[in-house]
Amino acid sequence: MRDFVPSKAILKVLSPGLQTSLQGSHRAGLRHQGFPSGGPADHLSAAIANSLLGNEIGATVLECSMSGPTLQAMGDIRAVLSGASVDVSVDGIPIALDEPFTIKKDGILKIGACETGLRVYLAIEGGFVAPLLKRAQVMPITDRRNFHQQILQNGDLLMQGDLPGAETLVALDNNSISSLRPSYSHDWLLRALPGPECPPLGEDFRSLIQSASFDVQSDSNRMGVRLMPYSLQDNFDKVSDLAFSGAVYPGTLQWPVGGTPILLGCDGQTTGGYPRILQVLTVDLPLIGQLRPKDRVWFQIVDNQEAQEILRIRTLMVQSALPNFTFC
Amino acid sequence: MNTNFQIVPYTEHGFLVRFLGIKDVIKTGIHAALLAQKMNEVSCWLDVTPGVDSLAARFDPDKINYGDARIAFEKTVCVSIGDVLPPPVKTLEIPVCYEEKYGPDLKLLSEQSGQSEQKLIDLHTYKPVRVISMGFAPGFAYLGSVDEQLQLPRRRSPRISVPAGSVGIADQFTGIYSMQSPGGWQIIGRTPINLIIPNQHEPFLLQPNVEVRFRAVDEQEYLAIEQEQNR
Repeated sequence: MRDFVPSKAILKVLSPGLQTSLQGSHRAGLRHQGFPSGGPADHLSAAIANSLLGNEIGATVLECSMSGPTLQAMGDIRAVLSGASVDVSVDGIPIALDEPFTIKKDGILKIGACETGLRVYLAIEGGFVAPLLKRAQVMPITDRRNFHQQILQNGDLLMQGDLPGAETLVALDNNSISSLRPSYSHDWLLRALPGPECPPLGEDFRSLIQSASFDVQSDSNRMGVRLMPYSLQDNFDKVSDLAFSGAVYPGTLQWPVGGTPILLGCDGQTTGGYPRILQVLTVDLPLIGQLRPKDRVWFQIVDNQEAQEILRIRTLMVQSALPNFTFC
Repeated sequence: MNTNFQIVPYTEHGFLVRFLGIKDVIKTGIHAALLAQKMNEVSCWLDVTPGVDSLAARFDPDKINYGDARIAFEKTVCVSIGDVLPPPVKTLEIPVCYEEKYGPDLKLLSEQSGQSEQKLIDLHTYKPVRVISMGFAPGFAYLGSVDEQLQLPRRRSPRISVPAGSVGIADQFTGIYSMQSPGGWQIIGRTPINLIIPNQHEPFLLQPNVEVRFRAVDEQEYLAIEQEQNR
């Protein structure tokens, strides 16, 4: 952003929105060094956006949370938005989600406030270019105090990439998109496996968890979503903190004894010491990126074999439209 | 290896091994970190995350099926945890300011243990500790073990934000927050040293099996080193 070469700049930030950042594909294989996965919090929506333009599904996108930015085009540009429902306009004319559109030079793209879901993704033809850390893709390490804070600011210039397109451009229509992704509301059902410190999974515990609902707290972010249990007594007598920290993943529900459960997100830490009660299914991880404050969450517990089957089938289904997509 | 272990599924494409009956947790933890580095080079593992008394790995379902991955995981774990600890990679001195502004939980630790704050600082600085593993956040290091009188459990509920450089205590471990993040450790001081070195191939100052000696500094020296670091 601030380091960008102006000659390649394609969009100028007139108003940054609440929390807008560039996100490339997630990082794999660095968790032993403490690197979280990163990438778009809802990587399925980001992949859909890229695919609609013929980009590689992991091309860098602009992630807009809650309230989006206003951007001015510095040249003609093809773009698409996918994700949370939001009012978008180009020069005052409304734009539909999941449909590519063109912004003419000097045109103004205005992304409004998300209504259901939390995050919407802007992809541009060729992808954005983000500053790279050699081994960690798009989490730039510039200063130890703002490691996660690559948030857009007024006047930032966004650069357009020159990435090769996907090998096969698969036509996505609205029907196929709605089969890839559930429509969002303010109520979410997340399927989960018991975590390593889950109490013995008797009928009691299963029905206790499944009948409870959780309110998404406002102090939630890409690292984690705080969930306030509703109509549930905190009676995990047998669960105590771990003796030593152990691995946690996006989708791990950590439940500190006597504290508020935290559902870890894509920037979540890699190890932790609080009991790991549930593990959200890999195929439901993109939904975590769409949980917004005051939304309500339910959990459904499935067993491991069933979860493997769900992963296999969902992956095949999504790959029929997005050939290189993986949930893992 | 002599340690018993237990393997459980963790995620629908991964496993967790817990090492049981550990005699020397530091040794086990360093071995686990070194094993994670090694397994990470094998392409069927998407990621391998060492804990202190555990290790978790997720496999790539496109490359290996669940049953074969389970067998491979157990075999690797079984043959890899040795008894002999390799000598430290290097030794580093890390300056820490223990004044209340930087170490808000030192007072609590003093009250709970009945030791003076100065005594606790002495205990934290006199004995070298070893980096067990990296984790939690990029560049965060688990070190140990600390003197028994310094051991304090994690906070009941994590702080929403802990400043970068904060030095924390959790049971027999001490750790350094490489960046500002939420955190549940009891904070006893802060170092001005950057644990993250920007734009380097190896971007972290610490790695498993590095020996660290903490040195107490006052605020003036803290600020001087900080200024030097950020120049």
